[in-house]
Amino acid sequence: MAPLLEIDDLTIEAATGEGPITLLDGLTVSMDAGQVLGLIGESGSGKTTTARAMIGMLESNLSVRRGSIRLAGTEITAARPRELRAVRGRDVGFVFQGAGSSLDPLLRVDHQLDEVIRRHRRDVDRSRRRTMTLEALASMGFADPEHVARSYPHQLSGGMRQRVSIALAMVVRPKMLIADEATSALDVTTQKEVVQLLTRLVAENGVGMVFVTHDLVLAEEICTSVAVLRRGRLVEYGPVERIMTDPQAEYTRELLAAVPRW
Amino acid sequence: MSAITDAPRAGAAAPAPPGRVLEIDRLTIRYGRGRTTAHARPAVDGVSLHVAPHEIVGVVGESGSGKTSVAMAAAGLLDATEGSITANGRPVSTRMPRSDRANVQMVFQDPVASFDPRQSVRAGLRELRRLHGARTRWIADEELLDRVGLSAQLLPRLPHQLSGGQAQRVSIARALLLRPALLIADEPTSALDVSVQAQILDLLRTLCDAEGLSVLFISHDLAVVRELCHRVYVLLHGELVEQGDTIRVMSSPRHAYTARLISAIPGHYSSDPHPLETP
Amino acid sequence: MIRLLVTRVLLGIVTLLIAVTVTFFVVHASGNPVAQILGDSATPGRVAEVTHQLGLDRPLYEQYLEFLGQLARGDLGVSLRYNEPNAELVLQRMPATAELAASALLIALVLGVTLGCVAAVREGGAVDRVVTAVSAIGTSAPVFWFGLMGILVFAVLLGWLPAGQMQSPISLVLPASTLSLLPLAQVARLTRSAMSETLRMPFVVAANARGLAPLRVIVNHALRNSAIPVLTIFGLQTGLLLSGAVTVEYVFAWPGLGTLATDAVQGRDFSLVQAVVVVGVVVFVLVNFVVDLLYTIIDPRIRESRA
Repeated sequence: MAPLLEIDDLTIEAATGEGPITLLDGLTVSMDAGQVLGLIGESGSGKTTTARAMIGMLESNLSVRRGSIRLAGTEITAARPRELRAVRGRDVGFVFQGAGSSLDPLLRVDHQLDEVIRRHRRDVDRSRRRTMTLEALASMGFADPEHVARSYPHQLSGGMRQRVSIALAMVVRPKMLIADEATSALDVTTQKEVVQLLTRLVAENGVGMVFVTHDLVLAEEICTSVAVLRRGRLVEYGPVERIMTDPQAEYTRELLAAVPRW
Repeated sequence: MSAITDAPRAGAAAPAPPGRVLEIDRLTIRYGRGRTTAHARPAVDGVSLHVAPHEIVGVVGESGSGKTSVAMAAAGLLDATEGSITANGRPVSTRMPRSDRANVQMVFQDPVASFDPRQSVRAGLRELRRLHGARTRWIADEELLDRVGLSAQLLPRLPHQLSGGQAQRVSIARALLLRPALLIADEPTSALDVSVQAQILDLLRTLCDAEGLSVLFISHDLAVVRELCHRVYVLLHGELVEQGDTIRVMSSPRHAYTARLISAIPGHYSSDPHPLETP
Repeated sequence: MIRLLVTRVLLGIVTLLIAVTVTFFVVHASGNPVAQILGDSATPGRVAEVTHQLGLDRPLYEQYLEFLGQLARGDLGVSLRYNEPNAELVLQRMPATAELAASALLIALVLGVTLGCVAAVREGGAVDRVVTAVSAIGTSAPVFWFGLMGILVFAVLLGWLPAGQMQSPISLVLPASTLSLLPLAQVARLTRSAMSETLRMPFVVAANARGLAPLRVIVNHALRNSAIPVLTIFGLQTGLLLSGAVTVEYVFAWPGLGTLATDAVQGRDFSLVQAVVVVGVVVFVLVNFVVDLLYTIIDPRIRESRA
């Protein structure tokens, strides 16, 4: 069986006034359902560009130069806008950085969830959508989903907002989740709750997750395999235990040494 | 990375203080309406802390802990509602004279935002020299930049032409120019890459040793605080819940919240004293 | 909410007071209206007599206080020229202006928002360039010039539209379009800038990442979040629109408040001028109050801070 995610020789360029710049150079990684692949790197590593490319949402001046991204059977690099919109949300949920800045501040939580369900499950009626909405919130660990559903984003704490964002990404049960620095803006104790929530979602639903982070030690807490990127190149790739205990690349060793830990 | 033993200075006993660089006594800060009445919960509630010469002291807390309010008040950028703050025995407030203000300098999480976008590094230093006169004559621009590990070639650069780490070094240099007794650093490395963060932490340590600087280091990151600070204060909802020698606090926390904070540091999840609570 | 209402009403009264005070002293400084009302043949004795009858020979502050007293009782006074209650004169002319202004606002809002949206979504595209150019012209060229050009092109040269006066609904087209140009330009420009900012917000990017249809993202998320600045400028535009109406009505011989005001100023009919100003200010204050209420409907955060 083909892996859930297969990225092969992915190369992405940015058009600039002084000609093209390579942002990502020949990335090859893959991931199965139930796994968590960490994309690790500092700023300029190309980790966020890779994540965006996976849902075909590159910035307008970026383009895929060569290579392929096969995600749940769809070749993303060749997909039409219409196919891409169907993949987004339905096959892959995306959780962004920030404590819920991906929520529309003017709309109630249930309205936003309902909108996503209506888009991807056309056959589902209103009362069933309501049930799905509340179930999605309940599975995020909210004790009172009804209350959260009726709330506006600003009425929730940062951690709650981020869990609503995850609910939005998971509500139509995609096969894959991409979390792009999804916990970086949170307080440490909240970050831990959200990371543990994500771990549980992967285990219970058998989804695959790409976890993008700058924090190698955080990646150790959640990932099954890790790809370390530096300036658009893959410097190290393998099972997380091996990389944490026996890093091969000089850069990985530097990163590990720079993180304060004990 | 071996454990406690190579934690750089944390184990070293803080030098006995002849005087205190910073003394905060029962500081309370309220915002907005209800400043006088007890309407809203104060942002900072009866916090006392001090910094001795050559000491790096950490203030740790999550959002809403009041740590930034403490920093702002200690830098004289915000007035205490109750309580007192003194630096080298002189009162700190928003109305303090310029010479006293030079004595407590602050660096921020986003240094570029505190720079005039059209002012070069050199012009920024020149402005400070004009403002503070003789106090700033002790060092030339080039040497000053050298002390913070920057090349003099950066002098003509504008803020947007600096990397995040360079900008933070420049902001430290600007603070240093005024020969402050105390540097207040509010999350100075939170926006930086880890490798750059390590360099900035090194720089602060060096300045503390070489220039006799004392540092009040505000952070949400216990791991960083553990690596850098001699002593630490833990804030929760504006109140001080724990204080003490960094190593002691980290290895045997006395307050449940401190324990929870430690167990939330990446790499420590399995040491979880309390399982995940559903809010 | 009650406090908001009270502050709004107080603010409205202050605005009204400032406006009528300025008007009062400016018109009174412009000279004695009686000679003009009586015509050239009046003798100085007759002028003095009428001036006394109308109470215009009393000290200015006395007249001012009396005027304020009347206003407080809701009395707009009697026209010096027509010798009829001002309120009636204004009411007669109001529908024509209301029709003109409402049409102009509707055009400005619908076209302005649409053009602004398209320009923001296709930033740098053809529509964007046209909108930018047109709104620059629309905000800088004088209204009367547009009116005259409109008459010249559409009425005189092409003969498609009537040049003015209220005859049929179609006669509304030229004056309303002319009057709408300035607010249209402003609304389009503001919608464009507010939208292009909102379109870059994380929640809009996130909405796209959830696979929502582009039109839905634009209308349901981006436009809603851009509405507040657009509404604000829209409310302020009503003020400019009322002053624009004076010019447009004059150019198109439109029998509304604008022409009434023009005649009143020319005839030094203080009392009528003041009445028109009062009505104008009240409308302005009311519209902005409605806009303010709309904020509350659109944004739950504003709603809460006012609760």
